[in-house]
Amino acid sequence: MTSTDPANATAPSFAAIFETTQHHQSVCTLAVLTWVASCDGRIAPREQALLDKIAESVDDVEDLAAVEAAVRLHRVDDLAIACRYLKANLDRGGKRLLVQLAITMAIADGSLSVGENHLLQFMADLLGVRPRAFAKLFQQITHRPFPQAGDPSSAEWWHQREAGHAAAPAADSAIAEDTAEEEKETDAGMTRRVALNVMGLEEGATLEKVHSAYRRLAKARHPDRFAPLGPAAVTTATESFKRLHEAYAVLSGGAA
Amino acid sequence: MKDLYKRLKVEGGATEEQIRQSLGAAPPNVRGSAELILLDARRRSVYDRNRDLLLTIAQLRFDLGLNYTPFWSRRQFKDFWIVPTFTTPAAPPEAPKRRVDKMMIAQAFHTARHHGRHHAARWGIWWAVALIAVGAGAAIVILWHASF
Repeated sequence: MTSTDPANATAPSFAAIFETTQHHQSVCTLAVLTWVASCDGRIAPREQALLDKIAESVDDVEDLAAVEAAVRLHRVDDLAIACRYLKANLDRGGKRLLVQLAITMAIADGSLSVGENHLLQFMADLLGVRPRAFAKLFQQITHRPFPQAGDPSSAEWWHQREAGHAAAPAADSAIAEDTAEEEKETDAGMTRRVALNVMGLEEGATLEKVHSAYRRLAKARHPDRFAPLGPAAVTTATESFKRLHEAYAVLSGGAA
Repeated sequence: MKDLYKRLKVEGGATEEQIRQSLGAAPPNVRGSAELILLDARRRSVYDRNRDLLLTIAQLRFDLGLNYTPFWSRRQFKDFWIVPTFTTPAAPPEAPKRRVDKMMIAQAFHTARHHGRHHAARWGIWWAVALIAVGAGAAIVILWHASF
């Protein structure tokens, strides 16, 4: 929705950036990834670090910083430009890679919020990825099934959530408590719980299962696969791959 | 997901007082959820964020022609689904009235072949040619007789 915040009046227009840039694909990819990162009302420190690295990886840094600022306002017209461009100009393989990248960005903070869930479904529809293929891609990237989105408009969802149970597998993480936890994790390094989450494993997973999950996820998230989408995509994949490697090192006792 | 504001018939930025007033007329299933979510600032902020995102997605889906897609069930998202409205186009402005020239219409549709003004003019030329020819013939005959 177009925000009515007076600060928005000074924000750069994505349409103007899009018209002047030479890197349409990188700009649109970054716009979509920024939208995924910021859709739950905040950009987690890990997501912000990832976006900064993407901006560094593309030559036109000034442009990309402006893109982030513009897209964070969630203006429909701006988002429509990026979506329309990506839909029209990516081939089938490129579209699937972009969906994988969006999944990677959505789970960068370790959980999938209700908003991220809806946004991923939109991306799948936009890029022509059918539900079954999308579920398969999600499983490949996260090593867990794609969850049903929760319903924050129902009293049951809130009762279950506040009672300490997951209202749905996709609990909304976008609340202040989780932000604090995320920051704590950033300072102290990756904990075992976070590592299990990154690799989509349950507590008590054997070393063999850890190896097997690592091999599968490394294959799916390898940065070389994302080269056709440009440097922004490769950087996202590289960061995701590093995180996976870190999780593997934690779970395998530093064997990696 | 339901749009609680829409069900309560209030604006998105409605005050707590406005929400309380509209609760009386709301159906029981909506009233329970609205009381729990919209009258609590923390729950309302989480709900508003998700609602805003769905409104954005709904508008984008409508703009990009993605309403009839597998992940956008009309039953599940009926409060957000944007239904296209077809309005009757406005009537074109009336052209200024002008006198109709029947001959112009007749010529345009090629119906003036036998009754047109040009047709009459063509016959006039032929009559003149015929009269000149007869006159010339008569003059030749008179001159021929005069030579004897």
